[in-house]
Amino acid sequence: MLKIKNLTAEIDGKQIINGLDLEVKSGEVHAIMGPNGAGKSTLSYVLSGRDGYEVTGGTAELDGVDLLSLDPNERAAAGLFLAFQYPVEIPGVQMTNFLKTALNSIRKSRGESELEALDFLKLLKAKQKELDIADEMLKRAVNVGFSGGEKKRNEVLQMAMLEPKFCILDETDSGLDIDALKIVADGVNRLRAPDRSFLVITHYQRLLDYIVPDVVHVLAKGKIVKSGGPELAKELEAKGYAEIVA
Amino acid sequence: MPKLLPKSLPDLDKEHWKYSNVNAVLAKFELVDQKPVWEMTGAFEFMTVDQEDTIHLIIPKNRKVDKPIDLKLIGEDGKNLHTNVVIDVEEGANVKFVERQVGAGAYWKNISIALNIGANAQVGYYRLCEEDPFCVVTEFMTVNMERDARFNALVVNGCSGFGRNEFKVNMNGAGSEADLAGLALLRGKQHGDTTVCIDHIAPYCKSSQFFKTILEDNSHGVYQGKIHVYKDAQKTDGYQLSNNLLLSPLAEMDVKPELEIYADDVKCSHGTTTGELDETPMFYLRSRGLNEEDARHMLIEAFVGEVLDKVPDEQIRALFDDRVKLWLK
Repeated sequence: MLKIKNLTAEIDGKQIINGLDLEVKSGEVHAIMGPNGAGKSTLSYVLSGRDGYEVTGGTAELDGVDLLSLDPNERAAAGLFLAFQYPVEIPGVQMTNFLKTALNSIRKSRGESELEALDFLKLLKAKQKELDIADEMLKRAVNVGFSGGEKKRNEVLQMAMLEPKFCILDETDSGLDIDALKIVADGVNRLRAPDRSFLVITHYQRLLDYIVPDVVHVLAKGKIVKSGGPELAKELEAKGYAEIVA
Repeated sequence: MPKLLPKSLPDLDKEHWKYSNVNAVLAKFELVDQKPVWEMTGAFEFMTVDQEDTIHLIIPKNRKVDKPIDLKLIGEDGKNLHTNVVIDVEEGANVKFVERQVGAGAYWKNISIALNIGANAQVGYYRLCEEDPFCVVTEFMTVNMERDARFNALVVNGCSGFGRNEFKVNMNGAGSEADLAGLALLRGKQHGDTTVCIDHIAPYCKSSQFFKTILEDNSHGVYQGKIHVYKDAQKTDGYQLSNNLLLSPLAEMDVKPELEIYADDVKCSHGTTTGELDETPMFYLRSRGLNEEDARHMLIEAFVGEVLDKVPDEQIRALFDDRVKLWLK
């Protein structure tokens, strides 16, 4: 599904990603853990194509499609989805309109027909119910006035609506209490499928109790320094990063 | 009846004309005076005209006017139009106005409107400008508010070559509330100036100014907003916000927020932002599949939507929506 080879990237001339290799197969969940400044968020922005994150070498392919040559919206159309660490508030853009425009943009660029209002609302209602999202939340502007938990649930709702094949979860657990974390993790687990993979970026092992990964990687100084099974996350939690990174 | 309109030009030495050199602009025009003729719908029963051609509208005490009164002034090429309108909304009355400014050619409209809102009366005032891009429009509105009066205003200004919208609100009666909002949509070499001064004279009054500008090409925007709180105007609640979006590196925006406060128990705030479209929401939308053009469009619509939301009447709002959509195309 996702193949990253010898990726290097910089921000403002400062190299942050230093020859990163990663392969995630269809249906797998990989976790990336690492200390602050290891390049975790940078990796998620480089893969999703944010301005200012410049790729200086290497390749990243999603099902054979060269991601790095695409615009952010083309990457979304190719099936990539980034759940933001800090979901962005957009005053004046109503949730339903936002979701409909996003879904139809992606459908259009995939050559599918746009959804009519009624079909869209039916689909939204179904997903909303699964994720226990109140009607009232969808009447508001995107993320405006949302609590931390609501913002993260909103990310999962978008994921459920857009049905990407590869999801990056950037520190989805940050700022969440344990109840909110469970709801978000349940939402993600419901989306796990043989043709969908996840890259779960996190600072803490806690999230991985709820979203159990197939593989855990340790990222330090812009490259993966160790990989293992779920037990590696526990080991990190017990020993701290210092020992493994050193 | 008050004398309203000096036909002389404003003195540019005055601080509040600093950014808008109307004399220089008018010097390029050769214009002849013409008697202005307003087209008014729904106003007939309320209207009188005096010898000096001042139009006078009186909305009688406790009268609720259901349909908005439509005021329209058409500009004509080569003409000067100086016009005075006095509107008295008596105690307890309730009325909405839609003012439309249209025209074609090079002309100067110099409009003075005095709006007197009686105790407990409510006025909605909505101005839509569809002027010629070569004309000059200077419009000065004085609003006098008595006890518990309500004033809700929105101005969408997008087309004159040189436009100055000035509001002077005198909150004379305790407990009155004024809510002013505006949107200036400027492109080409247009110049759009919004100048607001709210005098909190009586206590327990509340005022809000919410103005936005979108600037393209070489356009020049000005916003000057002042909250002036008199010594006796305790418990004043004054709010002022100006957000401006620069869509071209050659556009210029001058903003001057002012607070002048002499009372000691008040709540006043002001804020202003001027900048390009934010990268963060742009990236967020694009990561959800919107192409650059659609994402920009959505963010600009949202930017203006916040102002248009200030119109409580759905039909009037639709009128403004259409105008703004046309502009954004």
